Amino acid sequence: MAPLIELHSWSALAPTLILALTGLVLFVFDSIDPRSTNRSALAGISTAGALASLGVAVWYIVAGVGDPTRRGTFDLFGGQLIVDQMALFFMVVVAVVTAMVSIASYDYFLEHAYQAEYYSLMLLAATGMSTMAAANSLVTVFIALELASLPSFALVAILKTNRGSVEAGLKYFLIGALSSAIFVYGISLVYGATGYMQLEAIAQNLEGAEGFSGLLGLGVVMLIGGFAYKTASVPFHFWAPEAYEGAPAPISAFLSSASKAAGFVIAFRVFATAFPIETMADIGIDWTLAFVILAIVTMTIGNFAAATQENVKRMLAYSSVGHAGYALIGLAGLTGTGSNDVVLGAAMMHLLVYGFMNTGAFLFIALAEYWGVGRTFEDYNGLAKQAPMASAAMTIFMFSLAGIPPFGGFFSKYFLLTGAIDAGLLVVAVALVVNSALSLYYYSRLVKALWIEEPVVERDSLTQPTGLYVAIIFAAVMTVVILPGFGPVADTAIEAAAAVVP
Amino acid sequence: MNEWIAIGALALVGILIPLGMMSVSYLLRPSVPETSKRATYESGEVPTGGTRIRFNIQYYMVALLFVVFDIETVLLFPWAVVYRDALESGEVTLMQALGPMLLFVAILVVGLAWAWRNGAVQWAKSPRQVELEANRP
Repeated sequence: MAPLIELHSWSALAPTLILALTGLVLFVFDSIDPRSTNRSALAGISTAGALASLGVAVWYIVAGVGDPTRRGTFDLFGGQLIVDQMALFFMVVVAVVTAMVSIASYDYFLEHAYQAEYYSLMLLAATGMSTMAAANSLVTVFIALELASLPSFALVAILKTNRGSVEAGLKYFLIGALSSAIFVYGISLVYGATGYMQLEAIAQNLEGAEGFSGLLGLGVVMLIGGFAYKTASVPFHFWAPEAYEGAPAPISAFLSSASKAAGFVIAFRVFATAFPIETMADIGIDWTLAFVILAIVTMTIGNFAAATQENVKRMLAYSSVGHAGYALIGLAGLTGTGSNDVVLGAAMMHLLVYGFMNTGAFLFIALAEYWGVGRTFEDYNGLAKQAPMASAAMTIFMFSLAGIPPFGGFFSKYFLLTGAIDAGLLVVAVALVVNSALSLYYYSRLVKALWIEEPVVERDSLTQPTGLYVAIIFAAVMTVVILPGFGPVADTAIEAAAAVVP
Repeated sequence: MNEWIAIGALALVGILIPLGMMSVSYLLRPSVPETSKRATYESGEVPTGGTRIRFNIQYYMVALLFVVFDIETVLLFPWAVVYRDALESGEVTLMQALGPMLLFVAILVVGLAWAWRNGAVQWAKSPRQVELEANRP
């Protein structure tokens, strides 16, 4: 079938370019009318931009862009950027989370003074994350990572007069600076050992690096450090609870879903493309072992810490660390023995479903902060009587996060489990099951507080902010309906993964 | 012989030379204690106050705006050098040679205009502005 319109190869990057353009439009808007508090226009522009990016990315996937047998993948700028199915898949995740967070921010930042700054920073961060999905060279990976990180620091600290927000921003910045330094040093070591930055070129020149296996191994370990920071995994996970708790809740949602997914896509691409496991094993660097250990430690630390929290937002922050551990199975399972595409595809599916359920859960926290009901589990007691719709949505998110069968979270976890068993990682599979069982305890604790417990203090009747409700209900509906639609999603993810793994 | 020995020897000499100079001058110099010699050196100025003071945020803003132009120049120079040759070779059209640079400059102009309109280059405030600022939450 001949394509309807012949587009320039640049247009393959349209989902990213639309986000960048939206950011610039917001800057122009703010230049024309500085200090505008026209929230509808600003939230509208950024939501429209994110939805346009989402629409184009979905259209590309359906039209077969990136599918080697149909339109083919697009190599841009000499292989520095690549638009394949995996890139488009994660562009969808980033765009949909950005859209939900933009809508929700309309109500959350009701009285905020820096409206335009907030939305333009968010769109710039989303541009960075979307570029991370397409980055195919260590240079572009690093630049995209910084483009995503720098606005995020400012976004976490955007509540200038709130000490918690500023403290969280500073901690996030310091750890971000440290891990960026480690990451860029790792890049220099890999470059020193192989002589290339472009991922395919690194893979082709690994044989020549056998004399430098120590150098290369150290570089790989440092790269893992950089990815661990962006995905909030051990050993660079400790910023996450601080930053997510202190940041305004929509930003916590944005960072813990979109930013984490973007961190994973660069990790998947770098390790699957640049360091094929067979060649690396010949040199003596078995990076899957590192990810096996990191996955088990990350999910265990995240879930055990979450189980002990009294503060709901902090509980979700630690649960987000635990979910990073689940997604790391996608890399740990690339042992070459099992079906690599299934396990990597399962991690991608998990990140997509996570993009809905976790964003929704944090947006419910945003709603609670909007109402001003408090932060602990007791403060949430009996909310279901006053806000049944939102509480029902939150219940869906909690059970989906725990991996209860009727919801999307169950299926992605199920695929991860089969993938791990297939790859012969029984320890990881057992850790996944044990941690999921443990996570059910603290997720259901919140559900119990919402529906069964009596309120500690009497509350006034709660308002129903439209934007927050729309975003939460949308996330809940997607968490549920992704189940019937899971066939195509799973096929796309596994196909995309198969194109990346050797 | 291991080549690292040479590096180790270089490091050793590198440490010994300054230490040797300092110890020789310590042995030779006359000792005349004086209070002004013990004071912190601030380019000949009389030191005042502590080191932990607040700088005006405007220094930072100007530095940031400088970076905008700095990056612009870094990219403009090599582009300007090859621009005429590229056009004469006939391999690129005017649009292909000029377009990306215009786009790049346009993006920077948007950033500069935004910073300007939001008061990044404003050093003093009129009473009306101070009043407006105070009204912001």
